[in-house]
Amino acid sequence: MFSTMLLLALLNGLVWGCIWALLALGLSLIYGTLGVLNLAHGAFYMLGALLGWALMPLVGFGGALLVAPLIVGLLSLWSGRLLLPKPQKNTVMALLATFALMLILQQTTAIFLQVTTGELRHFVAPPLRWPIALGDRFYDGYRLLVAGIASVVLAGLWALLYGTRWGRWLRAVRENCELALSLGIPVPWVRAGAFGLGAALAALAGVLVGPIVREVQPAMGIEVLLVSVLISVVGGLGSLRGALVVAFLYSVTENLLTVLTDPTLARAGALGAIGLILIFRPQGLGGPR
Amino acid sequence: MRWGVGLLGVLGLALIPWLWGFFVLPLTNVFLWGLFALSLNVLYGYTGLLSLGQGVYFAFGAYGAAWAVIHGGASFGVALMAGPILALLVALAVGWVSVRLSGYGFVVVTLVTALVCYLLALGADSLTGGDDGMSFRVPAISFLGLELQVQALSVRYYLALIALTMGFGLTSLIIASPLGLAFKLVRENERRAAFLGYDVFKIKLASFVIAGAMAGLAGAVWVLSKEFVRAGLFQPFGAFVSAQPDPDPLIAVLLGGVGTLLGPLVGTGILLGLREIFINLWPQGYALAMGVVISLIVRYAPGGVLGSFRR
Repeated sequence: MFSTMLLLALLNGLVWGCIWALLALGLSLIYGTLGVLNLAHGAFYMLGALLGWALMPLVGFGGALLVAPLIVGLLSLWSGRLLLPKPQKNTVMALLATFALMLILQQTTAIFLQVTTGELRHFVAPPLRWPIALGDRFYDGYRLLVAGIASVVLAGLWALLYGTRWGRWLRAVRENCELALSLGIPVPWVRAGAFGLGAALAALAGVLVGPIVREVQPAMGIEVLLVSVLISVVGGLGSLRGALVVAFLYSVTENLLTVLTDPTLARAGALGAIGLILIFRPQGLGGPR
Repeated sequence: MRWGVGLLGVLGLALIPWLWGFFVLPLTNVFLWGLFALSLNVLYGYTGLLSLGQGVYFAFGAYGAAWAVIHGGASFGVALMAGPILALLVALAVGWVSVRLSGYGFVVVTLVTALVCYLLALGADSLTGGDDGMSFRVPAISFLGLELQVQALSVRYYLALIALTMGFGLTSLIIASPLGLAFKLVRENERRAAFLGYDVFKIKLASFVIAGAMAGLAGAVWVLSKEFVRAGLFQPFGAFVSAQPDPDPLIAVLLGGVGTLLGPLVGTGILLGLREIFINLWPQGYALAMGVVISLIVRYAPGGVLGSFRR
């Protein structure tokens, strides 16, 4: 009985770990290349979830998985160009600009939903019913599918960064932007690509999460944003490996705590535990030195 | 000279309830939320530490006062003191950890502190009243042999005015003092401050704790005039998701002028005016307008209305 609950918690921890990894890696990618912490990340996630809800009846789950991140990626490029000041000019102002972007995206979505559907909350039907028997309980097989898809995307991201020319450029820009520019690397394009890719990863996480949390609504991105910024800061801002490790560390801690207490306190406890790492390593786990 | 002008201003404001009753309620709000914005201005405007979770200390101030009345049966004055003291202690504990972090680390910890406190407040709903909140009865104020009821609008007005005057006076004193100069030095160049022998950690912690206590005072005054408190006060970005949005201190500071003494008050006034307009005409538009306001300030007027925040 207890061991089954522990197993379920561990499974949930791994599945959500993949989701947090998608979100935190997107944040770290954007921070590493543009030097700004993107507070609009939660809004991109929310847009992904809502687009998933809207597109699934039209193009199916697979279609939504491809189209929603594409739309959000393009939207992020356009809105980022419009709103964000020149990178690394003034970090606080850039941060506030992404905060403004978050408010604008979230509230525009809310107004749009209210006008078109008259309703802010919507429910996503699970695209796949596949209960897996585990002892005396059932596990939602869709979650395993989510973990599979997310792992493939994460592996693809690594292949993109370490196996292609664009990935080499991106890593060069992260190391030394001016040197990269003088070597003829198209820095503005690399930056735009990193921003769009990060936003698309957040949107993908949103599409995947929709059927798990069932209810999608414009304010759903705020809490997710806070958790994922903490993960990427504890992972060492800009460090992809750190973000990946801390995403799983956080998620497994949180889900194991749900065995003992209710989900609200479990989340508070896991956030506190992960945050305390910063006392001992203020620069984060994957940070320099 | 400047103190004389300030004293004259306070005396003028003290006469308002007798002259124009119409202004009492809007001005009470400006004083209260202005004090809250003033606290963030000490931290962000003068010390350069951006906090996105200043609402936590407002909320602890509110709960400190509410708990003192509900559980301690405290008198009005004691409750009013309990709020800022609780906020100060929490700020001391959080600041001890968070001000060591530089740049975005600090910003993120302020945000996550708000989320953790909010989740804990939701979890401990027997203590905090949870999302529904709880109301309570505030004891009458006994002052010079008079029994003043806090339900009276003019009493609330004077309460807010006194609190704001205290906060404003404190800020002015600090900013003019060597400590204030140290705040600005840390804002302009942290490394140079350390090089000159200043203890940057202590300076930042002082700023954080002072700001926390001021926000707590605003929260205590707020809760003692509302007689109601709810866990949603802790919610990060809560001001943007509620139907009756409170003026956000960060936007007030940015709008009025970062690092100017009167800026936060001017910004709060503008925000309250905007809120009045939007609530009557287009309630959903308020948060959207806030986003547009921030992006316009960032793009075109980093100094705000009064600002000359030179970097």
